[in-house]
Amino acid sequence: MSCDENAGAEGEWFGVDQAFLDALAAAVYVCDAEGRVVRYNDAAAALWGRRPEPGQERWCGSWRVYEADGTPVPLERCLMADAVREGRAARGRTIIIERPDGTRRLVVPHPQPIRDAAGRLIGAVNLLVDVTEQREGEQARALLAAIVASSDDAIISKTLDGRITSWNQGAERIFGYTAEEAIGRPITMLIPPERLAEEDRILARLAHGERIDHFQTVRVARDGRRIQVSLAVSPVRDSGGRLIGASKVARDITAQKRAEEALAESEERLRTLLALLPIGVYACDAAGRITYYNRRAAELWGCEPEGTGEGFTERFRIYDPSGALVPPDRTPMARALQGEECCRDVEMILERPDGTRFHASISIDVLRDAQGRVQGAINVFHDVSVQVAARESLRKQRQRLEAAVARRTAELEASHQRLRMSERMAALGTLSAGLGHDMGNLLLPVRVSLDALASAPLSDELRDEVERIRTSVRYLQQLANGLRMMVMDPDRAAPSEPLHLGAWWADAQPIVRNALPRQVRLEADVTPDAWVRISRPALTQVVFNLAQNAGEAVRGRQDGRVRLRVAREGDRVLLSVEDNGAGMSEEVRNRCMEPFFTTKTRRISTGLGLVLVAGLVRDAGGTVEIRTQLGLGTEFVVALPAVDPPAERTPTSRGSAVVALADPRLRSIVVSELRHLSYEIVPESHGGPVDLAVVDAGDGARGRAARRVVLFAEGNGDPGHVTAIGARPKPEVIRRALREVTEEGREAAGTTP
Amino acid sequence: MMMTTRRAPTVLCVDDNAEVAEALRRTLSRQAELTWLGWLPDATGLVERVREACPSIVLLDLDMPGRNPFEAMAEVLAVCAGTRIVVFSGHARKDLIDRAIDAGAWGYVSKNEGEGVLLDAIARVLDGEFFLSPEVRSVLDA
Repeated sequence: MSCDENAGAEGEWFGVDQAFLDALAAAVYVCDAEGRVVRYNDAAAALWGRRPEPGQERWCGSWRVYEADGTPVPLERCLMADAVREGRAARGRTIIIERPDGTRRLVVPHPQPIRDAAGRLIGAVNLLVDVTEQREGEQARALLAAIVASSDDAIISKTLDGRITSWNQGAERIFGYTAEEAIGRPITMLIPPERLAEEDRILARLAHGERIDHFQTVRVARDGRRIQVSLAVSPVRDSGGRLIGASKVARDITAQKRAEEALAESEERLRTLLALLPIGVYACDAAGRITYYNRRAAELWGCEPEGTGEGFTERFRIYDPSGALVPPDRTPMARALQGEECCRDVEMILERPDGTRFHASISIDVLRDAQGRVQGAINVFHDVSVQVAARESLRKQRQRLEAAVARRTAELEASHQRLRMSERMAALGTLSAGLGHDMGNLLLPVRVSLDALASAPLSDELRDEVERIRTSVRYLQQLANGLRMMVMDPDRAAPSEPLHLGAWWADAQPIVRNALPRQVRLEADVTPDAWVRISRPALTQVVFNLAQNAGEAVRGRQDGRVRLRVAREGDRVLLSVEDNGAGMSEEVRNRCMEPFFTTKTRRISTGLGLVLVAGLVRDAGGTVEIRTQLGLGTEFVVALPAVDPPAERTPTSRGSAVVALADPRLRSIVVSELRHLSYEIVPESHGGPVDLAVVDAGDGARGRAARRVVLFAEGNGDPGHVTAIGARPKPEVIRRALREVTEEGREAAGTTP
Repeated sequence: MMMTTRRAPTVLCVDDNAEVAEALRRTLSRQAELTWLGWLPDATGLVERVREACPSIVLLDLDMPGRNPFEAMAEVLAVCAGTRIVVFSGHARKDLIDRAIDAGAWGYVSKNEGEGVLLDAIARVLDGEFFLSPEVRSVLDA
């Protein structure tokens, strides 16, 4: 059957008024028996998004049709086509209609075959129900339900009188009740008794249409556990806008709360710790504003930052340890805020706004966000002024110590050199003494031979020759004696016996003469009768060294002269050695007594000659003075204390003495000793009183009238009268005893008018 | 007082230096009152020689090789009580002088002094006088 064939029946079957059709909200269209779309209403045109020419298109006015799953459906295979071709109604299958503009609608078609009175199929009418909104609502609800079901949070709804109407899995997990157990029961089962009032307040606020967000409170689980929760409660209204209940989302924040508390506690602890720290701590934001500082920091600053702390750190000047000012953009904090990992125990000098300073050790940590951007910095600093001062003091002490060590080392070295030199001098003295001794041995036979020659009958000529030889030998003998005097006294500090300068000079002359170069003239005037207290070798050494120096000063000069003079000046004896050389400069004059100072080459000088002179003279209680004039010469003046001649030398008798000893040699020794001490020895037969009696135990002279007795026997003696020195005393014991007795006698005589 | 009436005092010399000994022989030989007994180069054979000859004077050097002269001195005095020892040494040191006196010496003369001093010493010691030469005395005084 064709549509053309049914055209005539239009008025009969399709004579429905177009206005009537268009008034229908549902989309309706009609196909003839051939499937041609002959009529449709406005709703259909809106659904299709087009207006097909009636009778020109078959089966459907849709642009494109798909199955609900998106599979394209050719129009001749659509339900309407089936209805027209097969004359049966189809229903319930949802399809998708795509409009020319690409929008899609979900549609449920309801095709219905149309038959004439004779039951012949003459076409079909299709009602297209647009279910797009309905389906989307269903999907949204399903999604919402899935979200609610799968949420970790407890999502509960309740009626306004507080009865639970829904309960999701989150609620079951958090509170422990299943949905069956919870739904229908009052919400107050979750509220702790002391917080029941909260529910009333929540309901009151809901009644005013308010939302409640992030309300932190405590709820009770089925097992009685208290749970920290964060609540969000929203009013629920029906489609008419009437308040019918509330939805409640509860989040278990027990763990979070605990973490927050732990964090707060830890922060508090940190804050306390920082406050108590004996070191300064402060934090800055990226702009350098102080965001935190502890008490010690304020103490070190000497003031507290005001307000935001902006510009506070700029009030301090920072110097590096050398004292150079650090530019504000190069301070440790500035560098840290520029992103430099700069500072770990850096030492700086901080100058406070009031100008006071302290040494600080600074460590800075840069704070960065997850992207590595500088957020600020933490500065830890402490006052190391005391340590710096200690270090400085230690350094100075070390320097002083080093200087002292260097000085002592130099002194030790000098003293060592002096010792070596004095050892050399001692060795030289020993050598000289040995040489003098050997010379003496050799000269002895020569002297004997010359004596023999002198007593032989000789011609006058030969006799003159012999005399000349004897003169030379005497000179050699003196030289030998002088050489023996060079032995250094091992105990220089021991007081010496008075020394007669004239007697000394008689022996020392050849030695001194030999200290001078050949062509230098020696003028000596040692005539004054002067006594000094210095050992002979020491004096010889002093004059020898001075003469040697003087000789060097005039070496090579035709008119070279060295003059040795002795003069009395008050209680001093001046012994001067003078040359007519070039004299000394001020510097040489000032330094010539220093160890190792020399103007000569090392080959001929020890640099110690004058040091030795000074030492020997000082030991003898004297001084050395230098008088010099450039171009005229130099004079060394040795001043020694003048002493009295030895008492023993006085010719006057010490007194009378008798010696009564059985041993003839002992007696002779004592007599010799007493004569030396200027006693007058009287014969044993002399019966009168004596000053001293030297007797032994066997002698009857014990009862003699003697002021003092020296007894050659063991015993304690009798202080003030008898001195017992043993039967066989050592020679030095005899000498000492006799001298002591003599000294006492002299003192006694001196005190007796 | 120890002098023998039969003959002139005798002198024995002990010195390691032959020149010195020869010079002494010549010096002493010129003295009519002295008899030169001879010379020994060291103290080793001294005691035997003294036992044989019992000299009036022994002139004894100290600085010699061979036997220790101080020990020899004591033995000399033991074998001949009349012998008097005069030390004739180039060394005039306090310790040596005292040791010599302690060992029994009657005199101590330095070789550096003139021959006259030695002759004086011999004469005085023979006369029973203890003698120290001037140089020796000055050493003891120092």
